[in-house]
Amino acid sequence: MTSSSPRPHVRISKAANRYLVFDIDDVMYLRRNHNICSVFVGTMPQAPQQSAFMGLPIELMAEEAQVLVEKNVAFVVDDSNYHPARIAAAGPQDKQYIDAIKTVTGDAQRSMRESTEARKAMFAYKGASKKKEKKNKKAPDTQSSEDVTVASSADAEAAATSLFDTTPEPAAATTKNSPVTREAPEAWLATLTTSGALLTPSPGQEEPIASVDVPASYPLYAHLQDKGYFMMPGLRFGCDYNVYPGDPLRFHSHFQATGFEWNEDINLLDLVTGGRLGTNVKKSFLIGGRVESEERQKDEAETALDVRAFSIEWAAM
Amino acid sequence: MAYDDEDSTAAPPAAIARDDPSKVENEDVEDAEADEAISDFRKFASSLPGGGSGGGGAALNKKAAPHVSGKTVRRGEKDFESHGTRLQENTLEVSRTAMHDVLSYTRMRTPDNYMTGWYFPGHWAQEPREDEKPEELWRRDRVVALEAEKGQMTKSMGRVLRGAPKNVPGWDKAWLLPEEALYLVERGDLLLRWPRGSIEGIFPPPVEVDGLKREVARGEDGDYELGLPLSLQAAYSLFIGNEGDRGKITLEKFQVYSQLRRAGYLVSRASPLLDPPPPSDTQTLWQRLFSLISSPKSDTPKFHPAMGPLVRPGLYRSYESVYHQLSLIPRHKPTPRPNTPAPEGPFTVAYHVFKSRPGFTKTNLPLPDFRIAVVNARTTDVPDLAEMEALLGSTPWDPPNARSGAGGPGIGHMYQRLKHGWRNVIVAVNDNGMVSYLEFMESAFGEERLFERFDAKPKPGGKKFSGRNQKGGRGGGRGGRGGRR
Repeated sequence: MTSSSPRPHVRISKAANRYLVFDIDDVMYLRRNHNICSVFVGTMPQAPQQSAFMGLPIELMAEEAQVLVEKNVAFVVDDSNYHPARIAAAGPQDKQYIDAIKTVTGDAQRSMRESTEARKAMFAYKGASKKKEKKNKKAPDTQSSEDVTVASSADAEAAATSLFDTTPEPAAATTKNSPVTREAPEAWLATLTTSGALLTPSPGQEEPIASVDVPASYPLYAHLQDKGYFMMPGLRFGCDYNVYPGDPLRFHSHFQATGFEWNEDINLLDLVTGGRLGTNVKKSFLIGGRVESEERQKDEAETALDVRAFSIEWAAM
Repeated sequence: MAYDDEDSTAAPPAAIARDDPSKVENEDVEDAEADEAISDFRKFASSLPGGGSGGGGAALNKKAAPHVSGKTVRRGEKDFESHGTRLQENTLEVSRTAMHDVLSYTRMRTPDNYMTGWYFPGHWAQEPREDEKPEELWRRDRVVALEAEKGQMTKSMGRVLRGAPKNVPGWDKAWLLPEEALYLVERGDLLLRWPRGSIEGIFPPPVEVDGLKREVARGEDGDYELGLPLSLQAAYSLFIGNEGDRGKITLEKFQVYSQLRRAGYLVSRASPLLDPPPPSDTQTLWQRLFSLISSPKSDTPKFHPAMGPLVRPGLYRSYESVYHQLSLIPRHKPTPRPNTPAPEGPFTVAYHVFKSRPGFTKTNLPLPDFRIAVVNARTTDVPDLAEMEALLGSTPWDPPNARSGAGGPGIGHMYQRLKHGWRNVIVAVNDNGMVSYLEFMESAFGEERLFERFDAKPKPGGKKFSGRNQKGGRGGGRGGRGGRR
């Protein structure tokens, strides 16, 4: 689709035979353009005590990595070896990397300071107006009970905001200082999601490209992927892949797919099990594999994806 | 269309959920979420402070983040298929944008509440494994030294290796295992750094004037010259490895570890040293000799004629003697000290899991509530009997009785006892980041002697009927009727 665009290749990092993508832009790009969504496997730092929403990285199935490599939109790097070696070898990339961190933390600090100042200004304004209000109210001796409640509730509100307002402490301390020393003592720290510039290979070197080991069901995966389906691991439905007609953000899955060799004997009970489970969860059980024939042997390139798929519906007992 | 019930088969990990109130409360939500791993990020984004967008000031303050409960992030409605309308496209685009915003977050803190850990993979590598003590387990695998312990998390993570001599740099620091370090980095609690110098430069030995060396090492770039702050990606590449790599953890184990931690459990690496010794043999010699003589009588009869009826003709006054003659096939009898080999390969207990409780200390671990083995769904087959026996044999003796929560004696608690088993272990099956939990236990049907009940004298006053009623009242349980689904 957009594989000819000048977009840099997606970097897949391979760690101990697992394939991970860390860059959020890459993740969204794969999702939008290559119907690959994969599983988010990271803990979300904003809400770390739940598992319903997961964060970066995504873990690609080996099939997904292989499809992307074949489409020439991604490359796989053996990060268990390359990455530590890259960190250990100090070089000019370090400076770039540290600068990136400083940019991020600097930006955040600035916006934090601005928001703190804005809030302070707001409090000052509120406080002043409240005092005025009180004075105005003190003056006449005859207060209506309504006014009292209004004033006390405003007080309570102010107290509540100041009670929960733990944000400005570090920044507030810095704002008192002179502009020169403002950032030095309270430099924020950040853990970036990707190593970015640090991974740029030194001149004359290249990132070592790792191979991908795909399971036997790969032809079926590649076939369905080519047809535009989104696929997720099939653990929950006892199959190889859970097949979605579109982005799983929006759509329910239609098929539970299992790959077979063309001449493989299939246990009839497996068909019944898969078909029955699929019907129960309003999906179709789908089996498929690469056609093994003499023609295919002759003309490998043209029929490389000669895969046929069958969907099975469990009718009755 | 309501296609929501499609995920009714995806049960939550029953064994895990059964005693945890917080888990039970969210069960329906998790059911709903179970199929669709990617949920409605729009609602999630709006539930986060500052709209969830990364890098923004308000979103950075962790204290301000409210607890995001399962209820507030319930997923939105889904469609069956694409119908090509702009509305559908827009909704999807909004979801994707929200997802992008939420996930663009950068982990950032002030130095005050950000722990710093230094990566020293080789520091304890030479320590012999043999003389490990329960207080300093896995020291060869501890690869990250914490500068200072801060926050709740360190109450259950990291160990100061008390046994180390005081002239070893870093002796007084808490050292983290790879999964602990990676989990803390993911949570945004730990800044992991790659030291540019030796460990003496980072943690000066006590003989030197503290701080002197550090001052020297810091140049224009301050802290950055002492060591490089690492990214999440770097942390994964350093800590994720193959089974058996020192100082690393497999990705499937890490994912199970972090999932359990997120759910609120406390997790420690398993070690045989943490298991209680098998119950000591309280029998005296005489008792044992006596049991040798008497046991054949109570178990299977020694002699069966080659021909003729199984039950010898005669007058029987109790069912028991008849059933003894009928039992031909030896049945499994659980024993406190099984003769199984040590488990090998993936079917080995990897983690001890504890329910969160007050007074938990990492140095004095209580007995775990669960034991978990982790297997990769793609590379592991169903365990064979030998593997299963070895795995169960490595867990401690846990007979079903009132103390282990399996009810008391008597027929009323029979199914509870059978379900509890004599040993139990949970196997976590990980398929590319999705985890299912299965519980295996050693059951002994031969220990439940139903025929003993037949000899009991019927008591006056309809006792028999009340017994039946009891059985009927338990109808919802997992009795023998479960097989008819």
